[in-house]
Amino acid sequence: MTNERDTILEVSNLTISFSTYDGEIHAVRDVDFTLRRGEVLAIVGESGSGKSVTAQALMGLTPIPPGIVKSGTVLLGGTDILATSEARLSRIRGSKVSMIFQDPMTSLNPSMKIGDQIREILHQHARLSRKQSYERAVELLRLVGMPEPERRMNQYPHQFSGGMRQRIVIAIAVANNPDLLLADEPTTALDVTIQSQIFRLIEQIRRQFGTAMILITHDLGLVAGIADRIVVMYGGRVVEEGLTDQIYYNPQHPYTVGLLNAVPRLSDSSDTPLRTIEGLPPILKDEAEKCAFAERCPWVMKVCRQKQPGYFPATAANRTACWLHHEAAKPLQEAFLSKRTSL
Amino acid sequence: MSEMPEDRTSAIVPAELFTPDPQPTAQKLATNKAQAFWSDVWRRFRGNWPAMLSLSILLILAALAIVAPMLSPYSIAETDLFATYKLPSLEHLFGTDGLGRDIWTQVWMGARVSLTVGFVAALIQMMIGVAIGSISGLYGGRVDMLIMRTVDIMIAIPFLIWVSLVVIVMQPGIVSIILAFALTQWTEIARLVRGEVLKLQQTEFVIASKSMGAGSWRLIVRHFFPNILPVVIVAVTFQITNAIFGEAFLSYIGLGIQEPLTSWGKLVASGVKEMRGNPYMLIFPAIAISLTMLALQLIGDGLRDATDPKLRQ
Amino acid sequence: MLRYIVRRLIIAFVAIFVLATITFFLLRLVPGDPFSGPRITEVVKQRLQAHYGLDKPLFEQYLIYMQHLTMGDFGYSLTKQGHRVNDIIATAFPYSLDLGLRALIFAVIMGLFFGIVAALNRGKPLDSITVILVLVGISVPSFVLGGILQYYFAVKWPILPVARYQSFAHTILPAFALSLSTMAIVARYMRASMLEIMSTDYVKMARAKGLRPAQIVWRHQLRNALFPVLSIMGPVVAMVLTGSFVIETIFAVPGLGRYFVLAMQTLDYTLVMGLTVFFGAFLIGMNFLIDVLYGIVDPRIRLS
Repeated sequence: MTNERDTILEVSNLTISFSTYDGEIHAVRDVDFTLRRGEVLAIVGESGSGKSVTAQALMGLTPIPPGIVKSGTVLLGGTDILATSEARLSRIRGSKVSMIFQDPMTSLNPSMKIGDQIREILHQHARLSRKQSYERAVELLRLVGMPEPERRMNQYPHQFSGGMRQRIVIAIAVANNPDLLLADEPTTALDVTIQSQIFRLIEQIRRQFGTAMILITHDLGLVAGIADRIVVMYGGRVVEEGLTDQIYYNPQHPYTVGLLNAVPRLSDSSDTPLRTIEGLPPILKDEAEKCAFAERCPWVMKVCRQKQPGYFPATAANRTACWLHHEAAKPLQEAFLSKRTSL
Repeated sequence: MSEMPEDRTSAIVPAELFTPDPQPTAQKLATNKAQAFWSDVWRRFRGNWPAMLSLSILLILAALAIVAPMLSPYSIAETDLFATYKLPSLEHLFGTDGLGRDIWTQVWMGARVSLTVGFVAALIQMMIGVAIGSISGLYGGRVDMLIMRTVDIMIAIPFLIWVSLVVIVMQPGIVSIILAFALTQWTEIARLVRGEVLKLQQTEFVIASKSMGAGSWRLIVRHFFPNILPVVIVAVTFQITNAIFGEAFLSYIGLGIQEPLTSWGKLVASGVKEMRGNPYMLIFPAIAISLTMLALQLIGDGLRDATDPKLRQ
Repeated sequence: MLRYIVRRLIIAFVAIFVLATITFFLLRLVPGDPFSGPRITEVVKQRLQAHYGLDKPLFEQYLIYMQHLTMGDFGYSLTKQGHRVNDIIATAFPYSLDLGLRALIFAVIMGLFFGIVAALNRGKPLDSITVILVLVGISVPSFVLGGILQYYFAVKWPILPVARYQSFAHTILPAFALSLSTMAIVARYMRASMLEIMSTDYVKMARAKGLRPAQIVWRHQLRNALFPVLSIMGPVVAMVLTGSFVIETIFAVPGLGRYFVLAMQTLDYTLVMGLTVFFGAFLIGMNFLIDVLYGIVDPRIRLS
């Protein structure tokens, strides 16, 4: 089991809803996972799967209202984030845990010099003189690969390209050497060529500082090289969780299989149609007792539409929420496992 | 790995449920995009209670404007020197003025004028603005630059001055007021329309239509109108308030509606003069005009929120 | 930055030029002959003749007119015993400027204040009250508000002077009345701007950095919320200017607005035209200054 001393994050029973004009949206349903020191966890899912809401909750950034945390605990180094006052949280945010947002164009204050934006997070959590924070900020810029950092310190966000801006955001996030770094789709808004650069930077930071990370993405292809474990979310729930290699080479949930198939392969010819998962993501309004993926699953059984599956330990160090892994479904399970197109 | 809250795996589940249950054939999502859009807009507008309330108030005011003078036993020219400065009573719901004329009748006759000026002026503005904005956006280049510079210059002059100039040259009256507004205030709408047209030109279906040989007119009618309509309607609503205010201002200083017609502006003007002794003469037309402008503001805001693409889930 | 300024300057000059031309031709469109008629005395007629070159062909008249304008000569009034329009402007402008500045400063400061308070208290009573006040300020016409204020605070309860503009006490009611609708617009814009900023990513980022709410408002929100408000300062100044027409009339302030209204009522065409060009040039100039200010304050323009 998990080594207690090494666990820095423990999420249990997390259930978050939002009250809207249209009713109550159950965005996150009974999610749990843990993270060890220095580990990289990828949370993968479509838009609306609840991954971003989960990430925000980890820092206590869920907007309340309209959000309601219906249950759950988020233990970060022993402190329950969800039960901590704003005042204490503001000491934790930016120092023990920090976040990188999706769109670097809008993550930075357009009317503030970027040097000041880096120094802001430094001054917030450490007693530094102006000279010290200046030097540290320059050092951080150099760390993230910014050429001519001294000159760039006095420039404004609009004078940088998207990739450069994201580097600045990363510099801000690691400024106080946090234990945990959350990256919410850090490259979605960037060019494909820049994406790999940014991921390499993230990997470099992880090696250098041993920071634990949670990477949120909708693209399974991106995190193969960097993630230790993968959590797959659908309809607000965790549907599969396992070590990276196992998820890629031995996926146990039909949704995971669908996601993997959706990634185009070099071996595909140019007129092979793209493989998609039929149907649309669910509207998270009802709490019906059934598997959320039932409507789109090519392997759906009658039980799937009637009862919510529990977590089956499909292979070692893996759990999957799918009725195919119930002992009564053995024949179908074998068909599923053999019919999966392997990578 | 975390603890499982309840052990569902060993729950007793009948074995026959573990048989395949093929997906039903997906129903075609039949959407008439245009209809869906407007019903969506209406639904959102309906949820906005200040806007709905304003709409009802406006309709009531309009109905009264049409019906009340017809049903009233008095005409606006009818003077009754034995009944001057009467307070509101059952005989004269809003009282009478210095010449014994019934104020209730005057307010609703004035409503006809003020509302007509507002709506007609805004309507003409809309036509001119849409036409010029579309041309500017579609043809681009020199034409666009010329038109936009002209608009910039026209906007530099405050609308009250514009309107005053035109009225003073054309002699005051209901027609000159309407024209004054229509001919000088189309600029805001033209700008908006041009912006939308330029945005639409970048969309793929327009490029596709063009490459299939659709002429400009076809593009305008088929594709642009439905898309620029929401923005235009919101702008027009606000223009109506400007027109009503402008007419009131002109009538207040004596350059608006002339005898024997009356308007809210005229009534407010005489009401302000009589405020010391007979405040009721100011109250009713003031409330009428303020209520109308308020209602239009809220309706405009409501329309804007209802058609805002960002707010659509 | 320089190119930006120069371009704006050119547009400003062209605008004034076009405005002057339009007023010239509008004057000539008035049915009948505006320069004659029973109200105009013989003396005045002579002066007009000489000044405007009324016997000369139209194009020459236009040139004479433009020549006068470039030298700042706005011609003669038709009704005010042939006074020079320039003299009228010179005496009346200081009053309007004083009134306008008081109203503008008050409106902007209070408007910003209300807008910020409303946005920070979104959904709570303070916000709703502000929204209602804003709506009232926008909907009720200025002459109604002005009339009511005058009635209650000067006539019914004689706290303040009714009219004229001779002491500080005299300035209170007119400036306040003039500021109301502008205050409402500024409050509305500031509130909307603040609310929009509240949902931006960089504010979320500021929270993620561990900044306290007060710090976030001060350092990140306010500065950025002011930009859109600055961009409507042009129309705001125009609003104060046109509002002055009504307020100056109600409170008998001897300013340009009042003269404009009087000129319209007495059909003093040359005075109307002269004042129009003056107002127009003034507003165009103000817009230019505001554009320059915006260019200085917004780093995106300043550094390009």
